[in-house]
Amino acid sequence: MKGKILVIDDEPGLRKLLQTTLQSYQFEVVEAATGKEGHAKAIADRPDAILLDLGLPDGDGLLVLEKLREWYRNPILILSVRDQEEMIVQALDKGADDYLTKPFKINELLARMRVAQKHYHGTDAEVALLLGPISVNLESRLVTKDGAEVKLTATEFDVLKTLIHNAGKVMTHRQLLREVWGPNSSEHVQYLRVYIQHLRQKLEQSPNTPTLILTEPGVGYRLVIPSKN
Amino acid sequence: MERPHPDSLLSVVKQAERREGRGNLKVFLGMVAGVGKTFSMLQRAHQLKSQGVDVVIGWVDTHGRKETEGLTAGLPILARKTVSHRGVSLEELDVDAILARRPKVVIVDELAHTNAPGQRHAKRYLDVLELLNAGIDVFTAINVQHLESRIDTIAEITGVKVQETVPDSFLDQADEIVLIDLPPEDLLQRMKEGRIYPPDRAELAISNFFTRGNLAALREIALRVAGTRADRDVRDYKTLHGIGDVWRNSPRLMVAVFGSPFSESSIRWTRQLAEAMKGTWVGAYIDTGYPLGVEEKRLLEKNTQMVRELGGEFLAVQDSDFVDGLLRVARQQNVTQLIVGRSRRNFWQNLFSGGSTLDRLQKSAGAIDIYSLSSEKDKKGAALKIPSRGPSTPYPWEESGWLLLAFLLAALLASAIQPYVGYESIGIVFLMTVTVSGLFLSRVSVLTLAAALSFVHNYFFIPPLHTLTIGNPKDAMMFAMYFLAAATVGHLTHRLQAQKRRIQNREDRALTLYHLARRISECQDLEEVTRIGARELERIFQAKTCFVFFEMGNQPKPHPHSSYFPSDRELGVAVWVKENRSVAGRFTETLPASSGIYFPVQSRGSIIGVVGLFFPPEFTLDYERQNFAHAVVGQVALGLERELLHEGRKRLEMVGEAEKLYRSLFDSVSHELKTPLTTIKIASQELHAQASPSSAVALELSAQISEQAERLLDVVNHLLNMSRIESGTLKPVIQAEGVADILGPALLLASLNPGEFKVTVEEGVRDLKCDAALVVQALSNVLRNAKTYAGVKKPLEIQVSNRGLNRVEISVRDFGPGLPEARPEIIFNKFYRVNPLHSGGIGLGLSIAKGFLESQNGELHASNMADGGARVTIVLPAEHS
Repeated sequence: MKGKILVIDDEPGLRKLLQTTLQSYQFEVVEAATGKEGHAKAIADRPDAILLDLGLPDGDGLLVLEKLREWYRNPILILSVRDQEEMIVQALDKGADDYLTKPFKINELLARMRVAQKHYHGTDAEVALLLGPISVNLESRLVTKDGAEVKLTATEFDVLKTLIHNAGKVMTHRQLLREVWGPNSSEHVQYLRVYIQHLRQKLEQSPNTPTLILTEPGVGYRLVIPSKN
Repeated sequence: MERPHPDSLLSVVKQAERREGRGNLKVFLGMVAGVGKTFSMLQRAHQLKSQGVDVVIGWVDTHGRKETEGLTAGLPILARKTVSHRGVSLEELDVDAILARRPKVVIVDELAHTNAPGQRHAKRYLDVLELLNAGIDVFTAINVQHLESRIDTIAEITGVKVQETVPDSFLDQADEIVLIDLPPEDLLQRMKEGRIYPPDRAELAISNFFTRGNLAALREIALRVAGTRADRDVRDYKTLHGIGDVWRNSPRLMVAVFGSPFSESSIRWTRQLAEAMKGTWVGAYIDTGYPLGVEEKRLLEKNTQMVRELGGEFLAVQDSDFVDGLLRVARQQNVTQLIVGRSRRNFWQNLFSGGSTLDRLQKSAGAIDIYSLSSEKDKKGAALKIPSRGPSTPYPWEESGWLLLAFLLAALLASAIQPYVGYESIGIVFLMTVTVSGLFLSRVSVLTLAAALSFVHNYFFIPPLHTLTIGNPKDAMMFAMYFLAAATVGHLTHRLQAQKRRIQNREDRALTLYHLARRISECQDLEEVTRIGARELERIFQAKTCFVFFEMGNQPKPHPHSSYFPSDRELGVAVWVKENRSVAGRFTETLPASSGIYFPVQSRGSIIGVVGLFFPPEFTLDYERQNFAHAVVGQVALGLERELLHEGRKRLEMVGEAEKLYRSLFDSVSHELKTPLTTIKIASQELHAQASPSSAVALELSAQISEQAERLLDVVNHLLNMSRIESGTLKPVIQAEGVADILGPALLLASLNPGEFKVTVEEGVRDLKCDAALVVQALSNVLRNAKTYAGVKKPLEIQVSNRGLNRVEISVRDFGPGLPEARPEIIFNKFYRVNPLHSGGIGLGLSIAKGFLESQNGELHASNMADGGARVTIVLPAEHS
């Protein structure tokens, strides 16, 4: 058994689907149809991760999230539909780990869950790591692309470092700003955009169709970990 | 004590309100440099400082004058700002320093100063305005030659044209103007002593500018500026305190205007006199209710017009007594001189009205000077006619029967009782008869009765009988007394009656208004208010009515409930009334040849419509009745306003309801369709992923399910997006976005694989100003469309470049069959499909893209390329770099 997952969604069809599928991947699945029930089961069953639907009938999914995050430390993934970007950003800023837009692929869900869990199990990011042709040494702050050194400004490096610490996971503008510029600087979204542009210019193969630092429109940025092969 | 007129009170209060929260502005006004403005200003500052007030010097130029310099000591001086302009360093007033320091009072000298280029304000007086608005009191100084309205005059006098000016309106904002006056002799003396300029410059100044003549002229101008201002203060003060008596200051003339050819000359004369006295003037018409003939009305209008043309104000006032009315207005208007034409009235008129108009005016005018002008009878051939009091109605002949009856009864009673009481008492009986008859009969009848009875008394009762002579002096005196008493009593009772009638009239009108208000308040909707309003107006005024409402573009449209439908030309009057918000048409000064009189129907400052009243041709509408009509129309307007507001609210509620319904329908359809499809899609994909590679059927079927579910989801998403666009619920969130922030996600969403496209981005392309999520969807629709219809055998060419100064374009070029030649952009039409047999899609993708882009000030274009294929271009606003 890989772990226990709580699915909070008002759609029986989707719950059933997730249960069947996730069980086939050796997860134990607990279901809840409402936020209230979900909260109760989270206390009773202590799941290793929660999948939370944003469009719950008995009140805002955001409220449930907020209540859960008062005590629940394990990953929470948001299930949303299209055109909910504003709510997604709020959910992420309130402590959700990542989000998936329906219809998502199961392997996508599993990948997100893996990333979130890795983070929670506290494995510190390696000091040196490879992102395709890019290598980054977090300690010496040396960045190379295809073996040649890439000069990054201090801020550019900090942005990259933050993205690497959260690799594979979406970061909202506010989260990035807070990490890099401190808690009071969440206003300057435009700065961030410019630094991301600079990073792409320096690191991406084709900066206008990025494959390393992706934009999630209306939500934030995601650093993609290139698959090992 | 007169009560102040509400309007004048309002204007004063408004001014006071405007100043609330603002600093006080005190202007020290001088005729010329060197009179001691700065000196006085500093003296005053020291006084305030000794009272503990926080006074600072923002800017003072002492020009090296010793006394002035001495006065700056002890007052904190704020540092000036140094600015450099074309290599020259200049000093300016540091407004920010003052704002930061926030003193109670700041001294800013040289009000007319022009700031160095690049300062916040071009002129120092604008700096001062900012300080005032920040609540700081300002003392400032200016010479009269810098006042905008005076520069031409002063240039004529002195030959020097001043460049630095301050608008007069600024001075009007001053809470206090202190005139620093110095006789020219003293000034010249100070000059010669070198107290103003150094001796060498003083010499030059005296011979050029400071000549005695110039100084005298400048002084007069300064005095007049200060004087005009003082006059205004007095008038404001009087308005606030309801002082009805005339305070003498600058002359204000008033001329009585009549519907007579002689008014013209008195109006002209008044104007000339006003000019000579450098005063202002008004023309007043007193409407005594005396009905005007056609010619008189025409003349009155002409004279009114003339008053306005000659620059006077015109006022029309109602008063049953000409003299009372005239004086009332004169006091309200602070009139110092009153001009009237001399009336020609006979002895009896004078006797009964307590003297001629002129006598009465002079008796009660108090402080107002009365000028009487001769009516020039010989020259013009007609006398100036002053209506004195009340209408002189024609003799009511139906009264004559009652008159005869009263006469006979009194005579019979007298002959019956004469043997018992003696002839002396008969006089008392007759007197009583006259008195009582005064309650019922007109003045003429009463006087006739008095005359007839006195004849009877004398002829039949007073010895010697049957003669008109009176033997006994005692009898003669009694007879005379009787006659006078009868005449007086008759007149007085008649006057009483007239007053009663007036009061009754007023009561009738109040009652009419009350009933109207009640009827209208009972109305249920706009239709009913219009219908009842029209009917009531007809009933009250015995006139036809027309309600005119306005459609889009000012098109007047008479309401069907009207009882009269004016011609198109007549409706032009209604349009005038709407645009000018004042009454016009017949009986007025505007478009008097119209067949009706039109009143604006106003509601909270905006015009709802216009009501026209159409009276029979011979009818006249005096000022009083016009005012009444105004009141009645106002009452109807209130009803209309109420119903309009009500309907507006109802409409809003309905729109809100519809929107709510739409949203919940949208949400539930979206949910009910998408949820199962989503589940099918996820399930089939997973089925496909987990199917055994050996089971070709399972792989194929699960792939089919997934693909078809995807197609249905697309259709649902497209329909929902289309309805979002069309319902106007689309609310783009505009932000700056980089090209990569759009291209990357759009390519991903369109599921284009790396070899299927080629991206070229112009060097230095600007960022976009858009809603990223919507643009990504739009672009991905365009890409998918190109892939579906043109194929990707040759990669799609995506180009991003600047377009003009503030747009960016993203074009997608394909190498397919191209678009319909005649109208390439037909592909943006809803449900349009190039090839209807082609499976997939319902022809909404591109119209949604267009809708999404146009909702954020973007464009979508399509064209065929010369060398085959098509190009679809997205144009979006660029972020300013």
